[in-house]
Amino acid sequence: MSEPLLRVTDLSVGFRAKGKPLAKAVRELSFDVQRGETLAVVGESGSGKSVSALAMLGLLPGTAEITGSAIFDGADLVGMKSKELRTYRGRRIAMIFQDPMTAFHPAFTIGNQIAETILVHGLDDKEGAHRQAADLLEMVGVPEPGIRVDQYPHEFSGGMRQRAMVAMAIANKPDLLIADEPTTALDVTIQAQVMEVLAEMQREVDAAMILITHDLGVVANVADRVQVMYGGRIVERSVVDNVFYRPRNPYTRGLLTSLPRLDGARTDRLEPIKGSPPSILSMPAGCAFEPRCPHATDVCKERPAELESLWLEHESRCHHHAELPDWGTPVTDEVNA
Amino acid sequence: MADTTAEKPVDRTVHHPPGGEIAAITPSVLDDVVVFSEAPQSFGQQAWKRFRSHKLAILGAILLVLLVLAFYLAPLFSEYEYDDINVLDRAQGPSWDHWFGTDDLGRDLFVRAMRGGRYSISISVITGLIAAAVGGLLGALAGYFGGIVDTLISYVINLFLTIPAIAVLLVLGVKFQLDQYKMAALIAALVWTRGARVVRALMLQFKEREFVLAAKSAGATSSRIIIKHLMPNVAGALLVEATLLAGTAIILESTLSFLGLGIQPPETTLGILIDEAKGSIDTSPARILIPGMLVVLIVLAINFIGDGLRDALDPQQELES
Amino acid sequence: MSSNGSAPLLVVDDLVTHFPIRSGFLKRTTGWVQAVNGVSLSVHPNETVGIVGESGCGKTTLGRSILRLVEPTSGRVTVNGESITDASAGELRDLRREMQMVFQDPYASLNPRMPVHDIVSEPLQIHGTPKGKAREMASDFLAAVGLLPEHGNRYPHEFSGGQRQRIGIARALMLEPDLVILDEPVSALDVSIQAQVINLLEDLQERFDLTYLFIAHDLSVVRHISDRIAVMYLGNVVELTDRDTLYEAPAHPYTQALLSAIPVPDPHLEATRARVVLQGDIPSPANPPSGCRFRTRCPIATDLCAEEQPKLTELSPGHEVACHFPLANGELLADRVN
Repeated sequence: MSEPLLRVTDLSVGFRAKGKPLAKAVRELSFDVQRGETLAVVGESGSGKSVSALAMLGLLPGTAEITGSAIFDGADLVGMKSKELRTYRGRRIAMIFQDPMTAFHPAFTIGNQIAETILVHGLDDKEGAHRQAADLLEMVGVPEPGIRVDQYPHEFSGGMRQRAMVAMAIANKPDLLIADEPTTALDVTIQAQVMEVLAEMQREVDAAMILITHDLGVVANVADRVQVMYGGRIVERSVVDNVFYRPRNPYTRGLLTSLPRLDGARTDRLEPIKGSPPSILSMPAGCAFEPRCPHATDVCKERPAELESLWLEHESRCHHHAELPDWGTPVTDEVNA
Repeated sequence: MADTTAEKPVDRTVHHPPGGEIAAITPSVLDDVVVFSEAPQSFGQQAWKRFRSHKLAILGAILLVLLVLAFYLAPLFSEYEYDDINVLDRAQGPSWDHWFGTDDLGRDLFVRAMRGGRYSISISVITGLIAAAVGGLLGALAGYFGGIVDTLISYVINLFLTIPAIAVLLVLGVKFQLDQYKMAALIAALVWTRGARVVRALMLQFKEREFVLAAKSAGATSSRIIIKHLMPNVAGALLVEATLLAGTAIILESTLSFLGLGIQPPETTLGILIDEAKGSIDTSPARILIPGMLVVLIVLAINFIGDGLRDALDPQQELES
Repeated sequence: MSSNGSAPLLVVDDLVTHFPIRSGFLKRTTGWVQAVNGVSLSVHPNETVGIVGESGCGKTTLGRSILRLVEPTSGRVTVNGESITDASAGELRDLRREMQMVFQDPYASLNPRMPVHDIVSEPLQIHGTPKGKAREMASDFLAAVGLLPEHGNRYPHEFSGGQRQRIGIARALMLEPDLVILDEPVSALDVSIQAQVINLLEDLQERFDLTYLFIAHDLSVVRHISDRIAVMYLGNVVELTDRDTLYEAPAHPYTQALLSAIPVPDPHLEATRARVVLQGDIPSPANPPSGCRFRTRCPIATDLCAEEQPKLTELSPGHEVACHFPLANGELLADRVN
């Protein structure tokens, strides 16, 4: 098995509010990302999915406490000095954020900002960078790129801004793209466009991608592997088919059954997960999901389970994963497309 | 490429993100659900807690209380009156008899300073109240009703903003005898606009909030919405403004009195004391320093309290530490 | 569960809401945001009509215009036969007892300075019920939405998003309205909480005999809860039909594109679906295209579409479409394009 592009080992991120104990948003997270693959990180609010990515790139406030390691192509990102981290950010690892409105500086043109990321990372030629910026805009499907490259962010629509963000991210042909909820703020028809562009660009520069999202539909569309997070930990991880067709974790199953599905049979009732996601300020001592789990027993209250390997490529963190009832694949009607 | 696959012990050292980076996350990334382990806390109770933990604000509050007590009670301990002229004792430095010394007419400076402080505080408080009431009301009406009401009130606000405060006060001070109430009213007339603008902006912001729409859809009248829904959310900011205006008022008043206008002798304010002392800066600097320091202390105390109020009433996320 | 034959509870007739764009020193009107551009529909007792669309389609403005939280520019709205649009302030107050709204943002829809029992009991207090009695009834409704009566003493910031939404729902039910307009009630909630609130809404509908107008952008949710669905685009209804027909045989190109764009949590299906991905952005409602507003992104638009705006006409009983070239009988857009 070849060397992973990114190896995260026991990454933990905590925040300390005044006078309160350390609140851990991410707990001993470990995962690998291989070159060229797409790993989806799925979770709801409080799961720690975004915080872990921001921690790796040094984008959290200085009060965050980070332990563990994130080894990217031989170098540990955690604890790296600012100066060195900056050579990675934007060049070898690029991040795409959720909110296209705040990701760009309103007082500089889009072309300027894309060119800046090119110039900062080596190219010395301003005009060349500007031309490249226009080319990139064309690649991501922004109409009239020659004109648009000199426009300001407020002159772009949300979908176009997101495309511009993709352009900026791939400008230096990164090895790894981290997309944090890239489509959540967009309309459905624009979402489809942007995901298409993102997948295309990923192939174009041959990058790996960590896709952070709560939208299982998007995951089914693009992911190779999926890891499901809850309460700061991974609760299930496998190739995409296993997670959707053969889930072996109560939380994953709960997520799948609580979704109203466009393709499913018209069942009369959804099966929600009772209760609410836990706050990082008050995590249960045992399994984080136990208060909401229909299969919970006493041992679940006492201690969280380990992430166990069920068979090749499929891991689950649950005391009772072996005793879970059979999972029938939901009836799949044809969807008009 | 370095070989890092050999098992190495997990790195347990704690790292912090490199300093100087702009915080890229908002607190929404961290969940905020509260478990009901504590008793219900109204916004007021929470605000009080936050105020209590703001050290400078508490310092300011204590300072202000001490000053007020001193101004009103301390003269009782002295046998002198503020207008006791005693030419034989004039121009003396501080002594056991006259704690702050005497002025050119032999009047005890301690008692005069205390009395001056009294006036300064009362004028500033009255000014703050008037400015807050007028500014708050007009700002609320302008913000809530919009349209022509807003246009008119905004014109009035802009008009007042163009008036040079000191110049007007000078002219009016020359023409009229001013007692403390008229002074307060006059100064308030010149500083109320700040409060009005703050309240107006907040009103504009809040009146589109969904909880206001919900009240409307339940049938609430405009006055109910303004009084029950909007004002409680605006009151905090108005209170902060009022405290800061009070501070401004003292400085304006002192300036006026220094220029010889406003309240006339033998009554005294801190500004008058400074004015009277300006001739003896070389011989007895204490005469000017003492009232000057008192003004500084009062304004500092008020500003600290204002800071504390602002933090208490405008909750920034607790997680920002 | 639509009731045929009974008189409609809500009738919207050619409703138009335009917002003026003012600029310049004298605040002259330089243009109009055509948020709602002539919408007509009716809702029958006990049914759920879903309104679906993306940004700029006007669905939220439609909901607010129906309640006159935003003043419509023209058109008529009647509830139980009585006109809302022509009502005086006093009449409007009374009419509002019959229709209530649940809002989208659980953080902005509750007054942060009021305790929950006051928030929930306020509608009754406004209409004359004494405070004590109103609070009692508030406790009942809090229980109906799954919260405990003692939660009434607490403040909104102490609750989670899903719980706040429940409080908003309890408040909407206090006046025992006939019609509840729900404006994106679950969009701001976590996925695992959405299902809870949806089930709750269905239960309440049955228990209290409610009629819903359910506004959302998420077609999966709308499909689950609605009897009939109206698809809106840039201020107009482009398709209106019952749930099954909409998902099995959508006739408007936009509806098909919308359905096609939604990713489904099924990897094999996703890999094999034929999709139609629309090009271009949604135009601004301040500057809509001439003729059919969808034509700039429509893969089958012709010259006629630029000249003449298609009206909402009946394609088959119970199925209305606004298109010059509707895709009838299950025809796929992907096929027509190729």
